Amino acid sequence: MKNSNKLKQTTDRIILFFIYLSAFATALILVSIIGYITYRGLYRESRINKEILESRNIEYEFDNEKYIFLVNKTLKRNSLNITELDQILEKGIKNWSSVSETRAKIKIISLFRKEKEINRTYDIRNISTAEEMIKIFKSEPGTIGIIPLSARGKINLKNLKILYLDKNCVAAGYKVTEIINNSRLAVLSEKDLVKITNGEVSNWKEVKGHDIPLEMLSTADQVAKSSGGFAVVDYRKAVESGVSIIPVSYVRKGANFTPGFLFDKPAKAGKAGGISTIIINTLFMIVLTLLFSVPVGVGAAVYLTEYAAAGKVLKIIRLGIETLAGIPSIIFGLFGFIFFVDILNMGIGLLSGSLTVAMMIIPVIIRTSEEALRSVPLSYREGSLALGAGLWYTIRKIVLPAAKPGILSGVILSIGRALGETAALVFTMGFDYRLANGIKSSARVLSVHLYQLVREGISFERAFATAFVLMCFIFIINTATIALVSGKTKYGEKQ
Amino acid sequence: MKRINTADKHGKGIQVFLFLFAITSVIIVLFISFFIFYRGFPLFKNHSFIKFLTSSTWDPMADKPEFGILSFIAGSFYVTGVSLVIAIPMGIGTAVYLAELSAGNTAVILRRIVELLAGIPSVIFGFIGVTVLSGIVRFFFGGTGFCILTGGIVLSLMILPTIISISEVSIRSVPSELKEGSLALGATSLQTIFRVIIPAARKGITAGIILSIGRAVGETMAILMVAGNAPVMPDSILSMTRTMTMNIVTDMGYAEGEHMTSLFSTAIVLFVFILIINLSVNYFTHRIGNEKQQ
Repeated sequence: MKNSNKLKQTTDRIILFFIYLSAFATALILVSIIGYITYRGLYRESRINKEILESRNIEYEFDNEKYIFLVNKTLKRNSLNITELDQILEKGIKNWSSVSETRAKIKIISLFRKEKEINRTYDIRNISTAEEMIKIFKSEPGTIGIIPLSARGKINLKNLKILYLDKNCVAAGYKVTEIINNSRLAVLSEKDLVKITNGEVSNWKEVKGHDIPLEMLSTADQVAKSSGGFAVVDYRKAVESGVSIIPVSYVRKGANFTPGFLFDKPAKAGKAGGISTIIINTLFMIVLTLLFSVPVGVGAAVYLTEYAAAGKVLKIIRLGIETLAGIPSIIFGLFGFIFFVDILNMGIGLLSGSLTVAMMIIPVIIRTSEEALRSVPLSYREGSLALGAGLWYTIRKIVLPAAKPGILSGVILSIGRALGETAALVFTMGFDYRLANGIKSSARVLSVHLYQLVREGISFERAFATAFVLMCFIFIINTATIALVSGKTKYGEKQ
Repeated sequence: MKRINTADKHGKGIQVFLFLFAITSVIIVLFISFFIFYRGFPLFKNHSFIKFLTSSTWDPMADKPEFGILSFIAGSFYVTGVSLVIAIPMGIGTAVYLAELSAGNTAVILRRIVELLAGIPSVIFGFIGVTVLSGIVRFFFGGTGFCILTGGIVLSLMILPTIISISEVSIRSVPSELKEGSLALGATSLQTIFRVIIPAARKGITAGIILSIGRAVGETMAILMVAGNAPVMPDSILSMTRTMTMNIVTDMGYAEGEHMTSLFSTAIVLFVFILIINLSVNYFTHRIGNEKQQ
């Protein structure tokens, strides 16, 4: 008897523990989702493998003379690597947007050098005075000014900065990068590189390589002949001599989400720039969706609460609303695709997408509006009707205003649903990330943008920033709904 | 004095107008059903319906195309099953906690958390699945991390709020006499919860679970991002899979002709399944309503 009681107590405790655990886990899940997205949205720490080292040189040697490069301070790059510089000089890259987040046409000017080799090889405009150069910098933000190192003191560097050059790389002997036992030294961490250059490493295995003695050398040609040689050499010379180049992995830390992300236009399929046009497209979609769904939803709710009499028709309407609420979004997407896009010939664009989403949120608006209308005390209606007002007048002037906060909270709730919708929009509203320029223009919204960034593997950092923005919107909407619902109770007792 | 006209001039007209709004949902449902069937049915002129359901060979681009969606039905079935295994105990546990064991601020905060969880877009769940959960699954079970298990976990997070809120409402709506009677007879509070309250709230909880099955089967974006999307018959919980919804959304981008029709045929199967789910939820909730009136 006593034993069975004890057993019962233990099972009770286990069950109780399980109940508390599930409640705690539910809370934990949400907190960790929000926390993780916020953390990764705001802060980034990623690894980038680079063949060209980030050690910075300021001068560029050409024809046995040294030059430095000046750019505007507003430019979002501080350095270029040697291949990028070559491409810019050879006009392979014509706009900064290809190599940075700044959008400006690249214009190359040079000072104090006339009729020299560099100007003949590349198409560079000559400038005779420093003042003129400053003027061009002001009028054309994408200017690159090339000046001889000796003339550095003559230019006032206010508003300008020196563009550094990354041009060195790690060259290693042929045996170092060989594949032995299915493994090879594919990348060197920044820390290991520092260790090697400080002379603390005598064998490649100390930096996760094979068991080969490390030999410190100075030129690329020497390394090419050695088996375990190491040298930091000019990238171009390394390529010419054919040595193996080991990339170095850098850890990038810093702010992931910047105000610019909200206000810049997206570029290169979302790889660069911000999400401003996508946010505006999302707002367009929501406004259009509400325009279609709120009158229908609220109207239906008014009919159901104020006019409808119990019977078969009412049952059918209720069944219709419940069924509509349960249909998955992909089915809505398919229907929108054949009906709006194809049969009504609206094309893939804002209109088709908004109509499709409007159909999805009508049940939400009906349900919440109905609840709000039913919570308006019957005495309000009776008072108005007793004073001789008509039914519609009573609804318009008494019932609807009293139910307004509840209806509004339903509308906001449905905005949240529209904001997160993806599957129904992919084939009805499309992927164009530019600003929609008409009601039939294809427009990408936040959720679709996030999906594209992840699916195409464009940029996880930007995906996190986008997810962060989306979560902020959802959070604001949720808080607003709760605030409105708690404000609703002041309209007197519930029925 | 300005005289206000409070009488209805167009009372009848307005009523008709509002009735049209109310009937819109029914019309939309009929339209959707019609068009999905209209576009999906022609496939069965050339291909047998039975084979469509029972073959797992999906080769729509071949010279002799074959359309068998059994592996997709199985995929939907498996991911939903995994999600239910996780979400049902957790959801009912949380609901019991909310309805019976919590008080004051904890309950308010937890309820708000559940609401917020319900509001998170599916694409965010998918994203979390790709960046976090797939890594965890890969770490513990190996493989790619994009499999039925990951998909099931993601879905379980998504259906959890549905199960919690509906179970909580139905536990709360159990008449307090039942609870008081049980306690008065000397039962402990846990005995009361598991022997009296939950059995009494059984129908509501079942309705919530069925509703969440509907949500899980119909979910597209989140599952698309994490379940691997391989059109093969899954042979374990760690194999990649493709569900019916994934099949529609994956092939929609490039399908033509009969291939496109087959996607609508897949949608028919999905749609009929969802309709059955909806009707049974309707059946269960109305039964509760009737019982309460008695």
